[in-house]
Amino acid sequence: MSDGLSLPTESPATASAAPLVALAGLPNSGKTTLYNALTGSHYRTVNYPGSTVEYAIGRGRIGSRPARVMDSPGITSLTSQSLDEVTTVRALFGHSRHGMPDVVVVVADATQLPRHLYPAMQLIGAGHRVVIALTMVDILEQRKHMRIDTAAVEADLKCPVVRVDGRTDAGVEDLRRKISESLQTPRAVQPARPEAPTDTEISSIYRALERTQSKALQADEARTDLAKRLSICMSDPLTERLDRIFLHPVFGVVVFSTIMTAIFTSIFWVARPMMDSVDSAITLLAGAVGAVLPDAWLAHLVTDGMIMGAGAVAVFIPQIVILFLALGFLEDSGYLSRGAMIVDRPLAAVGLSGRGFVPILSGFACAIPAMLSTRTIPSARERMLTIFILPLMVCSARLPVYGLLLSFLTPADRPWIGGLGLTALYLFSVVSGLVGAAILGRFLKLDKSKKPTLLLELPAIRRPKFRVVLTSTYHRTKSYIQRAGGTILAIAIALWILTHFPPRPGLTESEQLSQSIAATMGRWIEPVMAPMGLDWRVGVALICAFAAREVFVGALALVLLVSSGGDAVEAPLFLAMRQATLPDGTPLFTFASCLGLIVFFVFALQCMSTVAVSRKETAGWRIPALQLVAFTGVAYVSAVAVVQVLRWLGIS
Amino acid sequence: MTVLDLPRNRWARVEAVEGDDAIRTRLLEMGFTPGECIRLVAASPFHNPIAVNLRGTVFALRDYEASCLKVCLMD
Repeated sequence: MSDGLSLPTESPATASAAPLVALAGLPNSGKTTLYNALTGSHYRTVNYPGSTVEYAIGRGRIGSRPARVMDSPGITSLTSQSLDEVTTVRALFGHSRHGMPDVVVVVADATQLPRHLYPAMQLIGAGHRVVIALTMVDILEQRKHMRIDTAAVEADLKCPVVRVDGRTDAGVEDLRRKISESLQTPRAVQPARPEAPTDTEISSIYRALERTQSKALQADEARTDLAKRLSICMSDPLTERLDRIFLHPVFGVVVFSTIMTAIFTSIFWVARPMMDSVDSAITLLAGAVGAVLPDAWLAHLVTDGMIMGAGAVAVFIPQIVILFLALGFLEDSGYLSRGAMIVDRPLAAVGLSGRGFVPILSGFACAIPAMLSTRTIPSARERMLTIFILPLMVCSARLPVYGLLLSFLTPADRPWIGGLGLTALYLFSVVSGLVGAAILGRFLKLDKSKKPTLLLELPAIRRPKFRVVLTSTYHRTKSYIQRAGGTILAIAIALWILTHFPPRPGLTESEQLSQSIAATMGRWIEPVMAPMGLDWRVGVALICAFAAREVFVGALALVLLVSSGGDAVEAPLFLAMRQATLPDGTPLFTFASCLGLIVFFVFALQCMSTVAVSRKETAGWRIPALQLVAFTGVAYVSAVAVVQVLRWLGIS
Repeated sequence: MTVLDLPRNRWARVEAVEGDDAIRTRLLEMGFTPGECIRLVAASPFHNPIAVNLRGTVFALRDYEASCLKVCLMD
């Protein structure tokens, strides 16, 4: 994708001189793919499944000059409703930091010319220099058997028109040339945001665009004029055929459930062999590093503290990659919004809508991008409710914890129990989210009387491009590791110090640990942990998990392995967990206490970054404070209840 | 009749767009302009939401949005 022509660095002086090229267009027009093609691999923000939610500025090249390229959320028109549309329209008419765009590239789907050229007409009318980039020409030619005459569009709209395919880079050089030429033309007026159009104005723009469309599209010779008109009105044949199944009242639900089940079970099963190889690689690395480092004490800090602590989490990267891959495929194929339509009805029952589907699904990766993607929801009320329940979804940070505890509970000869357990946890998180939204909905006064809407566009179904999916998976995983990695490493080191200080020479490792700072801290909270059937060691790990959930595994590995003197990640951690006992000699990790821990993780809001983002996105402390107190309170009470009820039933 | 009353897979023409300013402008700007061909392609259980085809695109509409679109069947 990178053509090596994007500039690596630029001085502030040239940065302000570099022209600003803004990309605009409807959602699903292929803007972000084109943005990536124009900027190479230099993209700075990662857009999670469910489209662009914030504008992104990247460096690219136009002609021989460096340029700034801006990608922003999709818009239908310049009349904005949802928060992401407001962001775009503002950026198109002079962003406070980046200024007025010098050229606007309107990315338009060639199979839906009038709808996609509508914002172009508005932007031209507003005084912008516009270049039109036509995408999906392949679908037009191969599935709809029509050709497009770009000159006809150019003549009618009086602006340059280029055919591009950001997925294969075809036409991108051509687009660069047209942008460069457009920059040479003087701008008559300073662009200004137009007022909301009247009904008649909208209709007359559309009538003009329909005339342009019928001039520009030519059907293959064998086809009649009627066939051409019909194929303009209809989706392409593949989409028509597949939608008969995907949107069918019965089969649609069956397909939807099958896809979801397949994704969530493969997170557990397919990832297994990969996780084992990561595991052995980390053990090898720790061994090799330990042998090289001269000082025993330093070697101990690096291997047991840093490599093992961070490694315990690295083991779960395969699961996260699978989740991102699956989301990428659903996104690129166009199925994601079909899923949104299927779940609209059940979500509507608790005051949400199908538009919440993509944020909820992204919530299975991470609540933070999921909260950002709620900006595509036009209703403020629905957006609050969606943000509220997102921390309940099984995010990728919970996977390491569930992975560990479920594998621990799963008998080796029946691995399917673990997969089933994980599926149940996913389902349960959705159910608890719905209940949460229903409860908050009763008390939330915001926009209570407004009519809830959906009005969702379902894009054409396409065979997903493997390269596009791989690129997005790579960037999403990288950003996940970058975000989580620092915290995990810092906590691993801090924890190692806490478990090894104050140093008392001559003691065995477990005696040393029981007199360390960590042990002292852990004993303070032991009374709180006891009803959950746990001791101070798990307490220390839980405290660490409040910075980020996935830290729990590394912290537990550290606390337990130090006390038993082991030196590998997963298998020895299981061994250590089996051997760990409570002060009275009974096992620490029983079915009841593990289940209690899982229940705690199901509800508890243990992620400080989520709290921060929730505060920012809801513009206040009310929602995040409620989330923190309510979810964590429910978590503790239900965990204690589970453990006590199980014990009362005689199941330890 | 409105889009809600359409039989499946029969073409109709949009006659008028009603509703409050926000929904009407939105529908019009999305391309639901009077005179345009529209067809019901799928309906969820309970007929809500429904999927319609217009200008070569599929849209999911809730009953409220669908009821804002007055249509007449084409023969």
